[in-house]
Amino acid sequence: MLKNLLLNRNLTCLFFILIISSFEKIHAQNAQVINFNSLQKIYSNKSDTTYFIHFFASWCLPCLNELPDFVSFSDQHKNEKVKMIFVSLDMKKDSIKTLPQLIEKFKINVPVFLLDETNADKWINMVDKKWSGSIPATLILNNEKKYKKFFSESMSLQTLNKLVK
Amino acid sequence: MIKNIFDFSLLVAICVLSLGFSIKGNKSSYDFHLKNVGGNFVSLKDYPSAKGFIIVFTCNHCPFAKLYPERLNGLNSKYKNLGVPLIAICSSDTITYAEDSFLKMIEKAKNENFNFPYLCDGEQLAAKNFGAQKTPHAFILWKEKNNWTIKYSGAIDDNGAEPDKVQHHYVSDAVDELLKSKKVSIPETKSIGCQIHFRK
Repeated sequence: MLKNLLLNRNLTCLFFILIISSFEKIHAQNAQVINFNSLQKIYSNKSDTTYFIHFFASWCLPCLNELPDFVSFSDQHKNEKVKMIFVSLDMKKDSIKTLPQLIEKFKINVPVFLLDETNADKWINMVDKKWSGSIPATLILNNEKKYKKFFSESMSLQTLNKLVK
Repeated sequence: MIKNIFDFSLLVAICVLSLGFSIKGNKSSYDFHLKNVGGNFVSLKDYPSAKGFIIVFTCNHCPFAKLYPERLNGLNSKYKNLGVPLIAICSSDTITYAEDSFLKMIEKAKNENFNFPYLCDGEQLAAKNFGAQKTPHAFILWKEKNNWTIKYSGAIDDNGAEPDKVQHHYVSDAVDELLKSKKVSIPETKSIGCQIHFRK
């Protein structure tokens, strides 16, 4: 009897541990590790979709200040041909903890990628030649309309909405 | 009398104009006069025998800058004796980033055993003069015909997070080339860093 109770208790514990760890997994999956080539393939898609590729990091204060605007913008336009992609430039070891927290805090429900590149000199120019590498930065593309604009500065919801018109 | 007043105002006008031009002219000079964590002031002219300088704009708060203190100590120990000392400058906006205050700079230099000057650019003028945009951002100044010229601008090396996996030591490669009177083969690189927030 006592043995059974203990077993049951252990099973319940195990059950809770499994639930908690699966939650953690769901959050961790929200930030997908990607290299620059794969990222470029996603936004080079020749469709009439306007891509907003937003480069940020959880250590970047101006990025965090404008993040709510980017989230609202992507929510507002989710039924249109607008695709927001968040690209985190966090360091891999820090991001395991910081990114899931950030995704939850800001209620980001669009893809968040963690860029797995160490030598920025290789890929920064492929985003935009004028970019020095400072963040926040946003690349806006519509491949069918041959539209490309790059902003190496903070942007407001108002500015973003103007650009999509 | 009227003529004298006219002459005088003409003289004043010329003086003001030439002052304006001399300020403009000074922009090409990279020297500064900034307070070091040791309390002394440091300028380029304090090093009359220097062939060049490694100037690194850095700060306390930036996660990327935090990866480099040991490498900065290494660069200074290697190149100071060869006539190319390293000077670190913090131009951070301390209103936005309290962690970059002068007191915290002193603490940082002590804790990380900085073997180079760590200067406070409170007015952010040095950063503007060099065109530093983020931390860490390294520059190599070299003496040419008694003038300082920027020979390299960019990253310290190509791997912040994993020092043992660095393939290109941009700064030390460029200094080595300059010491051999060669042209710098990679004069500019780009890197991710924390944007220097310039107060308006």
